[in-house]
Amino acid sequence: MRSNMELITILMADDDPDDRLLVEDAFEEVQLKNSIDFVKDGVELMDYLFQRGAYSSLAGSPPPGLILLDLNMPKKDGRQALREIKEDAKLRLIPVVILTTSQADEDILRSYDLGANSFIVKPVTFDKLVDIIRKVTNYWFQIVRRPGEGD
Amino acid sequence: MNTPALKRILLLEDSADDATLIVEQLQQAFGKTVSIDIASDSHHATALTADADYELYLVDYYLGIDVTGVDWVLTQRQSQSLLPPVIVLTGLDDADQIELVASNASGVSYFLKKDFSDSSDLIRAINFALKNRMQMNLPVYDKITIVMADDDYDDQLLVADAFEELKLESRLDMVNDGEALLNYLRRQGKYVDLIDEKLPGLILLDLNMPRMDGRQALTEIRADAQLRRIPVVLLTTSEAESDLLQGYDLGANSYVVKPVNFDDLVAIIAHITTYWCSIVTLPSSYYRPEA
Repeated sequence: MRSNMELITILMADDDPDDRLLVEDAFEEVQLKNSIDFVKDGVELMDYLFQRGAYSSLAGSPPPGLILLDLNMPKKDGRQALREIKEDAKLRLIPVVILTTSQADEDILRSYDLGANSFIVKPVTFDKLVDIIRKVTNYWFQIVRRPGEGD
Repeated sequence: MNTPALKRILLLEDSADDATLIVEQLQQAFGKTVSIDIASDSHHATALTADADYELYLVDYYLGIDVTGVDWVLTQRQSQSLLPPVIVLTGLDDADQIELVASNASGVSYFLKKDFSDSSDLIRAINFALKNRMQMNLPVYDKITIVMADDDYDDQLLVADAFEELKLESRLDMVNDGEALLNYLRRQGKYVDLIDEKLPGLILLDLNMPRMDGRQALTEIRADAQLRRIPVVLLTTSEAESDLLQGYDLGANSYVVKPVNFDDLVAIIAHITTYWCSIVTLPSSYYRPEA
């Protein structure tokens, strides 16, 4: 297993500011060196990924190494954003982990059908969230090879 | 905290002291927008639900000599087609056992330990439960089957050994190449006897195999409406960037390089199964093979 962690960005899309804060706190607990960027709806998410609009200053920077995606967001929800991400030749290579309160069968099945890399139900307690964030980052940055790591 | 406009909560709690404390926590969080009806036993609770519609049931597990809170929820399910979200609460000592019971009971949305010093977990659970007003069940996961496709018999043995070493609960099925994998997944050819069994919850897929390689197998799996939702982890010796990119492009969920020594392999298998079997929610529980 590799011992180095590249300093790539994790991108989280979630409309709930409390949830964003909790995840940010969880990342701090885990002492992850990667930076985390947040967007609050599907429109911001796509602008960020396409490095356009409010995010045109990102042009030229590498894509995020991982996307944590809520399903229920205003303006454009996670399901639609997921579809658009997996339809784009470059963006589809970025692992997308759905992180949502929904436990509905239909959401789970549809997310995997649309190409989500994983589906994780948001835990209720902060301790469990820290545990999940620790295991998710360990899996995606230590165990798994991601595209573009060699760059 | 973002709180939806609440209406009525039913609190089934036999301890008057605990009920008072819980009500305080709820009123602090939700203020006057919430109305809480308290039932001190299951009969009282049933009577209340007959008269009024509730947005949420908060249910203590132990109700003295009465049935348990989970038992009450299950009887409610028999008479009502749609329950509101249900949060089961318990005191600290028996939490682990109760969690097991609550997790297996359909109709229970969340399970929490009572915490009178800090209400944030309770309030968060309530917000989550109400945001998601569809009927929710804590997922009940049977032991899943993991299928591995690899043409190298030594690698097959090593992974099987790793599973044994880790005493993993998942069943591990092995196939030797891509064609066998597709037959296995489609329950045809020599795998037709598996027709009544649930599909695997996870596929471990080598890239380089005869007859049909991992790339081709992955393409066919992703093209199949029934099979495409099964997560695929490419598990290969190849570290080539082109294989890595192509793997994700074809729709692999993850790409993992097979380590060379056994101890590292055991560790990687442990991490993979922990992630896919206990952190991630898999679609396999909800899938039944086509008749």
